Amino acid sequence: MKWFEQVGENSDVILMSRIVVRRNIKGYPFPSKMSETDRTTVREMVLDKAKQMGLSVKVEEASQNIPNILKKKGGEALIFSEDEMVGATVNKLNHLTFYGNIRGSAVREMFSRVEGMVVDFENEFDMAYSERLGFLTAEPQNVGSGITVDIVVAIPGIVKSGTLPSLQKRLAGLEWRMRPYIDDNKFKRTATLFSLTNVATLGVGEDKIYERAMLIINEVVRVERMCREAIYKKNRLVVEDQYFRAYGLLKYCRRIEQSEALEVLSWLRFGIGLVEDNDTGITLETVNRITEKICKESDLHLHASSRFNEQRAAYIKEILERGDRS
Amino acid sequence: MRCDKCGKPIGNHLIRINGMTLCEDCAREMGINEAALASSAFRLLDNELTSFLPPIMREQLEFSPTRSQIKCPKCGTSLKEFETSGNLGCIECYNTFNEAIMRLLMRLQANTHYRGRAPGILSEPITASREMKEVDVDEIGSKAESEEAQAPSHEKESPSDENRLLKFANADIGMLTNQDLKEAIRLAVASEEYLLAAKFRDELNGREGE
Repeated sequence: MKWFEQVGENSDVILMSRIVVRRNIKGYPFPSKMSETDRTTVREMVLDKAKQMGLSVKVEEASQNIPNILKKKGGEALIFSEDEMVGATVNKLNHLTFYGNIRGSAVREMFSRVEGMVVDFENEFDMAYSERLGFLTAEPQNVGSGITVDIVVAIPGIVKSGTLPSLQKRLAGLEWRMRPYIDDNKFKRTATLFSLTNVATLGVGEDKIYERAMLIINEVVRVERMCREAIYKKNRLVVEDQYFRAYGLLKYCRRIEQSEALEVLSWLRFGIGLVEDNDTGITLETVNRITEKICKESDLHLHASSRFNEQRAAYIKEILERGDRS
Repeated sequence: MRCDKCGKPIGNHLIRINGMTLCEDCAREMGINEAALASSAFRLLDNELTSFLPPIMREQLEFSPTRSQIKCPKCGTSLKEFETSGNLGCIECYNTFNEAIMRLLMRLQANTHYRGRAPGILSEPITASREMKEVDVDEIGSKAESEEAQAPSHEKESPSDENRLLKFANADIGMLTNQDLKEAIRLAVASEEYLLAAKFRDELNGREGE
């Protein structure tokens, strides 16, 4: 089963957790300054090791027949595990950019799998490392451990109860940063999806980074659930009304804007598990699947086009129906 | 404005050389020729001035245009390139642009020393869950309370104080209660760990502000 087909832990609050670890091999310039031969050498070295470790390999050749400005440099590759949960890109910004993705919050396994893979590569190759600065990366802001942990959270309860500033403060104290996952300022709607990322890669050890990530996950989940319950207890009718309206809107709309869809989804997420006499049959998994699909639009720059509103409504309907049947 | 050399008030011809403000007469005395005085101050600095300054002073005159021409000897990345893209070209760049990188790291991370694992060694197994953490902090709290009950708080520093301070320092700061923090500040000051004390104080002040 691929990682993105799994149902995540705490998926009412945590959509996705990611880790990125950057490493460079000593003796070669960073990819932006590498010669074509160096790129191929590094790629072949890395791919040999990856094959030994039983990882899948996908080579990306230099693209032909397109204008120079869009041309990709050769020597890039992708390696990944069978479930695609962990892997690495070769010769992108750094020689090796390891990553791990997981739905929900079960990060412990992912962290140790990624670290295991990184250590295997470190034992094989001489990595760019200095006693004082740690692992050297192409972007100096990530020097040190080279680790970025990114947690995507859906926190309508915290936002609507006005607890957001204190969460931000708490994160800043742990040297983490939060920013809206999708930039929907354009529509002047309140964002409820946030991406939480560690800032410090220097001066904190790996174990501390992992520990803080888990601490933050637990705390956000706990506070968010508390907020949702408190709001529901206080404004039962409002929450139920918004929840059922949201469902109706999503199910029967024929055109819907990205920001509206996200707002409606946040109400659904809010209400699932709380609202009594819930006969909609919609599951958290369906809500998360639609949310993920909508978030991906931003990567493809589809969200801004008004023509896309119809297509969006269509695929939402399709996912809803599929979810209802199963 | 007055001339730094002779002290006379300066008319409409003001000349600045390497931080000194001079009047026309003094500048002429120092050997700057008529043509240079007539030309713009910038050209003066660039061309004429360096010709009569001793070599050491000439080096001090290297302003930002030349600084941004610094290039990494190994990969050829220039400082300007680094400043615009934010990316380095090779390991040697870390030496070449050390100053700029350190400034960036201080600003972003407030830290310039690595504390993680060495290559090829797994970090400590991830066992510390939140539950364990809570127990840990509770222990600190109860211990601190019980000890406070037994002994007056302004006692001379003892080995157990050191241990307690160590525990506070290692605990997650957000999990400590206000009372813990006050205690931690007292202990840190007693053992002259002022940086640590400041950290606890900032946390406490931050909470009071909430």
